[in-house]
Amino acid sequence: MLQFLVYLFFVSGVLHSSQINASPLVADLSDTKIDITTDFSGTRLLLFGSINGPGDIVVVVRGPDIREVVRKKRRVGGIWVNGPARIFENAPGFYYLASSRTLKDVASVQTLRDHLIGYDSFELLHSGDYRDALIRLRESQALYVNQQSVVKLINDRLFRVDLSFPSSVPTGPYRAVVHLFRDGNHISSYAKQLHVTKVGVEAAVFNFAHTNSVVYGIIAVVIALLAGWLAGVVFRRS
Amino acid sequence: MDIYFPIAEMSLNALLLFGMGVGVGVLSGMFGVGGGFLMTPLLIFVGIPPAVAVATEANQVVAASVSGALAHWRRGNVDIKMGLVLLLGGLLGSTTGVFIFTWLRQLGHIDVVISIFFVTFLGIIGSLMVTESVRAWMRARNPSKPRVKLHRHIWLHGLPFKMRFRHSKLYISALLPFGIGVFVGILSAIMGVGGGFVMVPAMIYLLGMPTSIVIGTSLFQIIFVTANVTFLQSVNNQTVDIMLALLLIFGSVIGAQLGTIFGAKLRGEQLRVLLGLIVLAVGFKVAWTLVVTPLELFTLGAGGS
Repeated sequence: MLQFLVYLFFVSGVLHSSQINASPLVADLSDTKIDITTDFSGTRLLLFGSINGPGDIVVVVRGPDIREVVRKKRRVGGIWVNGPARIFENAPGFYYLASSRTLKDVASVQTLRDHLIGYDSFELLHSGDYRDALIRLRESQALYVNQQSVVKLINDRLFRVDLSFPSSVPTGPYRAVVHLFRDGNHISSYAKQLHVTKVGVEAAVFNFAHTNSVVYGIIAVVIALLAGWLAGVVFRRS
Repeated sequence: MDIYFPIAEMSLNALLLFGMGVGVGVLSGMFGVGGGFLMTPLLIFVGIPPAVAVATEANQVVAASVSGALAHWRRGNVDIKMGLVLLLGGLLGSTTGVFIFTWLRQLGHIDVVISIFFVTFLGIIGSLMVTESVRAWMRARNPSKPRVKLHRHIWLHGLPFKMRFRHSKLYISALLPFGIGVFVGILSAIMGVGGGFVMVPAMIYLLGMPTSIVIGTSLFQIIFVTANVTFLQSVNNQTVDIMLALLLIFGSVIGAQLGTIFGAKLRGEQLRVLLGLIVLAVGFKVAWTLVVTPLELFTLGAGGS
């Protein structure tokens, strides 16, 4: 029911805006899937679009939630060992944020949070040290990106954002959302689904190892036995 | 040329890994060592998660020991009966070891335990190699000293379950080789090594086996123990990366051939000092990462790497 209402609202909005001959926000993504293949070393996508007048753009790309264990090291008898851990059940595995101005100038904290913009909008189980560490470490792996005031608007109309994904990007469904703000108010948003999947040999090997680990183990051993035997035969001194 | 490794879930330079395979292969060809005790730490140094490094290296050692064992088999240098007793212990030890490994991994302590094992064994083996080689070097210069008797009967040989090992010309308690097998099996599971560096000296000095059949017999045992480790790691932890293992096997096969050629041309004792120093350096590097205050106190991931 709710979805239906949202749909009606959206359709009427589009119809209305087409009457005045300009929807507030139009955008698209250069590709809607990322394939992880043998030579995958990260990739880039282009997100581009136009707006119908001055405003602020905020782009958010959010990956699937992933369970993550954060541990703190401590010193025991002179060596550093892993100490207490916190488990985050639903931290986003990937989070990319880019905006045309610093967030605090775009809208109020509450408005941003309502639209799942910024780290503050994460609903994480733990706060403090461990939460900060999670974000810091993910940032260092380029899995979290927070680039404010990097989106350039051309003539207050056109914008483009280069999205970069590292080689360790998690697989699953992603959602790319572009928000348009004007004077602190949320005007419009555009969303597109994006899928990151392992394909080819990589996907086969990974899935096989996890779903059929007994057979995988046997195959690993047999391959090694054959390789060793082959090497012995090839290099046998006559 | 970067390759994405599906189990390690990261991309790494294929040439670098191939080169590491060749380098460690050269050493193993020159000295007749398995090389696992150098390869696992090197894999960890280049960023492979320790749990994946250990399990994958066990897979590589299977291949390395097969070709070695075949060569010794053809020359009749394998004591099958002794090998089977060692293997029985090895299977018990490695199975226990993999379950300890899985448990430690769940607790988040596996990385530290792997490092401590490496520091301990690289330290001991490296020091022994250096001192032993220097001593042998001295002896070569001053040959008047008498040689030690090969087989001394010690109380350990008198334990129950005495067994006759014809090929080794021994009549000793089977508990002794069984116990050595258990110990080496545990090392194999936790360090991803064949364990020849512990087993060979133990077979010579503790069992009193003739040196000529020690290597072949130990390789025979290592094939099956590392195969067991590979299998159980795959089942328990899904940490065996076949693609990484194949790349390392390919490199080490070529390296081992080169190493055999070099080894035949160069002088032994100085080389052993060199290998001892390499082993000590790797051990020191591992120790350093344990002791030095990390820049980042927090870590991510189940393994806590």
